[in-house]
Amino acid sequence: MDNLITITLVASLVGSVAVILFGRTASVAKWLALLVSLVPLALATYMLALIMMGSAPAGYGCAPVTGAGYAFHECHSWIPALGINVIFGLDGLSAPMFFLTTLLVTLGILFAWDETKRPNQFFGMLLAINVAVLGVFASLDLFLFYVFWELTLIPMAFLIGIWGGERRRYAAIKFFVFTFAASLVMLLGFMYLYFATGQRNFSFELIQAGAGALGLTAQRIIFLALFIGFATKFPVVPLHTWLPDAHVEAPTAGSVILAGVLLKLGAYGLIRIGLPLAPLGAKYFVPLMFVIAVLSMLYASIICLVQRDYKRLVAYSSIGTMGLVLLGIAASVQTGNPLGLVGANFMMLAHGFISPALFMLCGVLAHNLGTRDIPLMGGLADRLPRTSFWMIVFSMAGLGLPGLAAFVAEFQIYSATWQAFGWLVFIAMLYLIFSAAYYLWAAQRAFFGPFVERPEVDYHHVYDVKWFELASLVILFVFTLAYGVWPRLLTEILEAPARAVLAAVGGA
Amino acid sequence: MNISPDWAALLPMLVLTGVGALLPLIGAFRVRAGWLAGFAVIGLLVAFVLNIATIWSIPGLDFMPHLTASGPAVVSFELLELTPFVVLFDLVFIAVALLVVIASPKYLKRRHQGEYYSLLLLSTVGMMSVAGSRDLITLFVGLELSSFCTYALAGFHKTRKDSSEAAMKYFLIGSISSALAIFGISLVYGLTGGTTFDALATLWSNPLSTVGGTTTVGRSLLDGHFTIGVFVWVLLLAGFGYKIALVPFHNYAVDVYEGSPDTVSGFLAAGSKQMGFAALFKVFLLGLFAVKANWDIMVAVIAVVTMVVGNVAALRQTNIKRMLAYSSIAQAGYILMALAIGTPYALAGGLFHIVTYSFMQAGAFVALAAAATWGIGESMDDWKGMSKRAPFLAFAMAVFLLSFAGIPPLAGFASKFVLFSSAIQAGIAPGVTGIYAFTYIGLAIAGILTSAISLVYYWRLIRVMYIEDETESRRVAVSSSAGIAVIIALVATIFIGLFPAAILDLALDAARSMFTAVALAGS
Repeated sequence: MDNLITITLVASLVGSVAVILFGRTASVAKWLALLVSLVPLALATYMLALIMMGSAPAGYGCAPVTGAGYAFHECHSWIPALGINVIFGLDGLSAPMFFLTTLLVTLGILFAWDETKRPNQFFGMLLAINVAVLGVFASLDLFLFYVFWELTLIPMAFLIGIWGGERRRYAAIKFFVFTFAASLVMLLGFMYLYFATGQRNFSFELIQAGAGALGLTAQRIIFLALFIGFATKFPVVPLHTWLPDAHVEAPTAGSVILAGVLLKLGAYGLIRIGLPLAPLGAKYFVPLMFVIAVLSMLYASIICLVQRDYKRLVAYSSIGTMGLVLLGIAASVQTGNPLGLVGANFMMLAHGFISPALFMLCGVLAHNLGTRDIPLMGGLADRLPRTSFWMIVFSMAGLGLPGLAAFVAEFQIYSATWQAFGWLVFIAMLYLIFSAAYYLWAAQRAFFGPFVERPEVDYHHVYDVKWFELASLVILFVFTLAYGVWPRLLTEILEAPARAVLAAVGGA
Repeated sequence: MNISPDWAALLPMLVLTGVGALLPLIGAFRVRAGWLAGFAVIGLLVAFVLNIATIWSIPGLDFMPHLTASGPAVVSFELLELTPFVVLFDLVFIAVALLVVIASPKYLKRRHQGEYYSLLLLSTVGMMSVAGSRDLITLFVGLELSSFCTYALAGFHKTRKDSSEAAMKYFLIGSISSALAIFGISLVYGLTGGTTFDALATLWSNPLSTVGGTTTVGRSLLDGHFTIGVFVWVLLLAGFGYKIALVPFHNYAVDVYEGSPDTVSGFLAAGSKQMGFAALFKVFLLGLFAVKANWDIMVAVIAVVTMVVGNVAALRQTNIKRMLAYSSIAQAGYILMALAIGTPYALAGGLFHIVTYSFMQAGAFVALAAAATWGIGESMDDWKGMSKRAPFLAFAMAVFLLSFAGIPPLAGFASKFVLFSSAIQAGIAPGVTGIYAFTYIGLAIAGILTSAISLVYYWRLIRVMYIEDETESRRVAVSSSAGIAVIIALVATIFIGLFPAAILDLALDAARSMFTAVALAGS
């Protein structure tokens, strides 16, 4: 079938509008949203399965764009005067992310099953994010990429601003303006590439063909401009300050999507665009990337250790994990060995399962207890056995317990780092110790130990996880476990694109 | 039907003049305001279609001359011309006038509206004369025609103090700016004996020649010669700069936009400002292109200062009209970037931004007018919780605001993209030396930084509408005619954003036609 990607996007868009216009009551809105979200989920699963089996159709291109190396490639003319086309395509790098997005939107809708404030707009916004993020992962044209990249900001800003916590107004504007400004810098980089390569066409393929020939200074400037845009989305220190506020103030479904996929946009952009289109620049800035990555990992972890707010702890841990992803990318660029890139991608996916689950559990805690303050908790395992169980499970997953997905990723990234940077890897490995420390300590303080009655928290009306929350968690755990014990599911499709990216980097 | 090109090119203006002249007459017979507006709309639509017929072939309208980017201009009685550049501006002026006229009947709340529509239409005729002028006197006459009509329109809320103040301020400042412009034009006549754009170009393409027997003028000003020639373009820049409300000529504009009736503010911000740009582009590109090296950095500095001042000042505003006024000043800074860069692609970006900006700006003011018909005021506090009181209006306003900021996939992003990319293109072109590369790249960076800043105050209004709770929960139904105007502007903003190819092609053609004329003028 042709144009599957467009169908997926259009289905989400139509569904989003339908939910906003026709979702008069909460129950109509949520059922409609759930059913609508299953369509892109099914299509994305189908496309991922075909890619994993190696039998995905190649699609069609439009001269001179051939679409080689991509599946489900489609090309529609958009602005011929500037050489801009609507080009979509998936490969091993983007298909798992594509699938993850649809999965998280569905689970987000499921998790927010008892949302009562403006439910039609809430679920409509979730579906709108689906459109925008899927568009980013599938785009193979720089202009189109940028359009979808910015589009992700609007529903997220509304989600934070309308349904968020106490400081939601500040968090929403900070998130919006900060990432908007950084994306504009990235846009200048795209423009530079467009004119400097002289292709008069914005497609990745054609620009990549001309990008290797650009001069050293040009490539460094381009990479820096692109890196600023991507690094803010990662986010890595020092461009990370929007994330704690945005994550903490967002409603749980919003945090799920924010942590699960929006953060991955930065890493994906760096791998897909930053590395192949400014290879000399990428190689030149490897030391910078290494320093920033390690700084993020350690700085974020240390801050986690002193957090009182559970959700804030999980938010900072995301920064640390994305630092690890950047480390893997830097290692691969340094050596030309795809192991780091594969590990980075694996981590993106693993974190995309684990972090949303942790945020969901924080949401459960906040909802049930009315607080996320760890010092106010204690011995919750007695009252909330299932919540405690899942929180421990996902904390273990987050710190990299073997058998679960994050371990595979961490192993690959650290191996690649050792190969690339030698003994410096031991500095990076401090992250393992810190992450274990903050996860376990927080869980221990909150769930184990003696149960302490506190006046601020109402323990008599608590309830454990509800069925819809449990369903979401179980599904995420299944994936975490599956990728943890059978990593081949993912690494098989990652290797070829990773090698292609590194070939573009190395060839320069 | 075979009409000579002379008359055919004038046909749209003649239609509008005719309708505009008849309207006060008809209005004297106590006709309902809606009918008057309808008559004006018919006239505007006829003019619109006639203009479109010059660039697309519409069956039955073959008597309109056909224009191409590289073809010759269609000249009308040696005074006015028709090129794709002119047609683009004419379409913008007529479209803005349409939006304003459609939104006005219920907003104005008075019985005698014939003069109002007449003034709007005649002002549009003046704007079209400016765009289509072939020499400086025609340009000036058109400028004055349009300005005088708008002075009266600004004071149309006769019982309100701020409307009279706005009219007075506008009249005084406008007259001063016209005086500056005519002084510059008179100098051109004195130096060259002519007032055509060709004469202006001749003034500058002859190095160190004695022209007119009185003064020596030189191509390069930077070698220390104090020549009268400098005054020419400084005065013209100042005269038109007041119209466009560039910094430092912008102060009056904020008060004028705030005090005028909402629909008139929309007309001023989306129509008069573009007329100033038409004049500026014509004079500087047709007349002064040979000495671009003398004025382009200064124009770039003015553009950057305008962007910065406009956006930063808007941050403090709590009145929506003042915020929109400052934002329109900032948007003028972006358009001016096109002049500073001076390549065909940059000019196309400027023209494209003129089109998109006119729709957004007119739409925003018309939305204000629609809210005002139901007693909702112009300060941000009055708009709290609009998304619950008037969901469609809030949505439309949110779209316009996001488009101003340059969020894809709206029209504002498409045009800003072309503008900023033209700056990058000029900055990295091979052979561009230090100060120029710095200037062009600096323009792009200033553009994106100010766009990011602007998002702060645009988002503030969106937040007030969507996140804050309403102080009054009365649901508001938007009056039908203003709602139609808002819908048109909204659809245009979204459609041009999603499918920019058509308007972009028109802008590229218009830019190429202008540069064809530039090449002819310089030779």
